[in-house]
Amino acid sequence: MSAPPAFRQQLLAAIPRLRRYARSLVYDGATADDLVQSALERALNHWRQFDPKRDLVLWLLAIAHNAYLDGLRRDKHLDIVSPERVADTLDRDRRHEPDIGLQMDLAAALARLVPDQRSALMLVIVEQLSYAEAAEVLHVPEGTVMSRVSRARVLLRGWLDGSVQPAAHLKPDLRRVI
Amino acid sequence: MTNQPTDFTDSDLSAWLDGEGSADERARIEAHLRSDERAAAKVRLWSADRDALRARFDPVRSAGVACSDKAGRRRRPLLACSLPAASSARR
Repeated sequence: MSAPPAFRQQLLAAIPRLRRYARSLVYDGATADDLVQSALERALNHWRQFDPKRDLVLWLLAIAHNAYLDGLRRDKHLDIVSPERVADTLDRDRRHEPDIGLQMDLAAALARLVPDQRSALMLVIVEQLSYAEAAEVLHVPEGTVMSRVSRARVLLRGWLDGSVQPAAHLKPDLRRVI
Repeated sequence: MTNQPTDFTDSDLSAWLDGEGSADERARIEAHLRSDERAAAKVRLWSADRDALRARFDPVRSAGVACSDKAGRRRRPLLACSLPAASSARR
């Protein structure tokens, strides 16, 4: 049995939020649309798992987040890498970033955050979820949301004002934070 | 003498900016921010970053659902376009 009309209607209403979250995670419009697409497909396929007492937006954002993580895992570039490759990446970063001390723009700084930090920051700042809600979406404790958001803010600000040099950090997608 | 903590971590200040914490905790942090200009300046910058982020991503929310893009890059239609209400909403 396919999803009932009332569920589809609710799903439709949640799409703008879903799209915005997807865009804040992946930037590239086409990739974001793919993420939206797979989240909607998952939601329609698993509509029975939705508890109507819960917030559909949170449920949908959690599905999108899982789809996003699956995408990261699929991407072979995001596999666990050897120390040699980390060093290569850092060298490449240094070559491409000769402007030590220059400020980074917001997009470049955001792109440097590791996915765990970026998703927490986006859920709290852009989606304006409480820490409890973000914790529900991300399936982590509230304290973890709190520390990820704080860390993301500090890094972002440091990169934006040039006080923290990106080369001092591993490339964002090679590292996971707690 | 008060026994208020004078050192708040970045996490504490960040959570305050996000509206988290009990009324009591928030009041203590606000008192701290009034007396510590460095902490206050830091939170002001975070607040500006927050506004910039919201401004950057808010247009997405009102942009609606694109069923195809001009460049025709879409490999498959957005599922939203096949939802009954989506097509009626577009007319």
